[in-house]
Amino acid sequence: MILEATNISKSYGAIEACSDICLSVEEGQVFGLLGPNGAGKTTLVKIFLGLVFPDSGKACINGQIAGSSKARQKTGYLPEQFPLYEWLTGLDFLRFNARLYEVPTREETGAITRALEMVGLNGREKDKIRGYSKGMQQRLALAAAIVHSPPLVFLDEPTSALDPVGRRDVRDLINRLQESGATLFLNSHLLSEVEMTCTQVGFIKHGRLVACGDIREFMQPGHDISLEVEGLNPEILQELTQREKLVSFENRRLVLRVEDRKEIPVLVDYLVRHGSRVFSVQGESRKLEDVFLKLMQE
Amino acid sequence: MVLTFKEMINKRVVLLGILLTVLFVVFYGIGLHFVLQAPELKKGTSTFLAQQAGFQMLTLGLFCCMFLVGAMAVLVGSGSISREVETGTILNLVSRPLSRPAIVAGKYLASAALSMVYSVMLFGSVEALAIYLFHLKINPTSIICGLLFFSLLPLTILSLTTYCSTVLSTLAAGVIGFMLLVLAIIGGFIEQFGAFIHSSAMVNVGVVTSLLLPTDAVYRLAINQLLSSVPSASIQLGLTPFGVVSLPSAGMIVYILFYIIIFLVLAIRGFSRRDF
Repeated sequence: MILEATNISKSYGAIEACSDICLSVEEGQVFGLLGPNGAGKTTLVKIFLGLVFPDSGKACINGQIAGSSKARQKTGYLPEQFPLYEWLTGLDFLRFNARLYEVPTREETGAITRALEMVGLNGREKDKIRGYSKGMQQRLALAAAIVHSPPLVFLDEPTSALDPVGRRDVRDLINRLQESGATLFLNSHLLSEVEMTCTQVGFIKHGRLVACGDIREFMQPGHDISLEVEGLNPEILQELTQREKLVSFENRRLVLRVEDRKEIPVLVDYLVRHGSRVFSVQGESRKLEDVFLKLMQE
Repeated sequence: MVLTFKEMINKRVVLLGILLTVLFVVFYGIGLHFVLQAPELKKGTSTFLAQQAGFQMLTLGLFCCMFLVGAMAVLVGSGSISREVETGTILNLVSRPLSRPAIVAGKYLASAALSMVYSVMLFGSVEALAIYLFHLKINPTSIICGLLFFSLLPLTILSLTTYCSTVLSTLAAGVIGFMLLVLAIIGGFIEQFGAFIHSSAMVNVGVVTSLLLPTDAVYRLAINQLLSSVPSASIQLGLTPFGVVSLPSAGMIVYILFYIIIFLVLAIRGFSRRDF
């Protein structure tokens, strides 16, 4: 395990930011931590980086105590808010970070060039940061987080300041980092983003980790199909509810849960035989948003 | 440390401070020039009077320097850590493999080095002007010793404001720094006047303010180092509030060194235990 947390708790007065959190992330995974605002996501990441001291519990990164200099050497971090030294040039900022991460001098230029290329900022590195757009600043902060090629990268809302193209670029970057063997720990509000990039997810609510595991486990159980239907009588709806097939019915849009694709023609036939007129059928895989909302409402 | 150097050089307020300091030196020089134009001094009838006027103007200038250096040290030190915390740029440092004591020490050393250069240049300029224009005869060793003592001034203020900066906001740290600086100056006046009229209560008031921020003690020690070896200046030392009647004890020198170290240790401790 590249990251292992055991019984991490942290309170701010009466507010429990993290409560007895146990978590482990394997090497090479892209872990997405999901939760509503104030759930404790950022606090947990900050504990892993030694920016916040836990009240109890401990975390290890690559076998080193989280927060120690040796552990931080193995991590990259893009904070949610990423104010930079605006009076520096992008190149100076990356050089400064490379030195903080003790990148050998002879490798410094190569490491900076590689990081700039990865975030798509090459050509602008000699400009002052104060002249960068918000998106460019986020890219630069991201470059600073990976300039030393860390095995574990924490990204706290990495696309919050980016336009759709920038978001796609970050997704590509996450994929490239994963391909290069890095492990990524992603905090994001954007569920679709997590869905597209993460291999593992954890759901945090009021400081407690309420669910954690392979993202496929959360997405797998059944497919949803959406049908445009007219003439649906209440008895059929009741029957579908009893058979645990009904997800929702609103404005002629009937959403049913099926365990196997073979059930789809059977259900359509059933509806038609009972007097319903089916205009369209669309398959929908179960979305992370549904899982998220269900877990948060429980 | 290098980053702190660059940051200061890039700060407009620091550059503005340096510009105003240059203006101060220029005006001080013009002031000295006009003092020398006074009929009593111009005739050259009284070398003694000219020397006394020179020493008087020198202590006045050095006292102003003490305030300027103090203000600059408050300005630099009060935001050294807290400004980065307030803007969030501190995350660029504390999330990297750099120990927190190293961050505080780096900030302090960079601020101290720049403030000492500023201090030595300012005090040196004022001394040079007064010595040159009034033909004051001061032993070079005394000048160097005086400058060394003067350079303790920013170190003292910086250690206090750096500590405040690790646990308070920039504004609060700045207010505390300025208030204590002014308090130390007023306390210094009371102490000197108390010594002149032999009032131990007034001297004690000065000692207490020096315990809170020993900048006045540093200033008196520096002035004493600079002028005590000059026989014609010794009479001047006790005649103005800028001279030395009550000389800080050897214990106070030790206290100043401890003051610097203790506040630095507290700053490191405060910063190392803080959540970000």
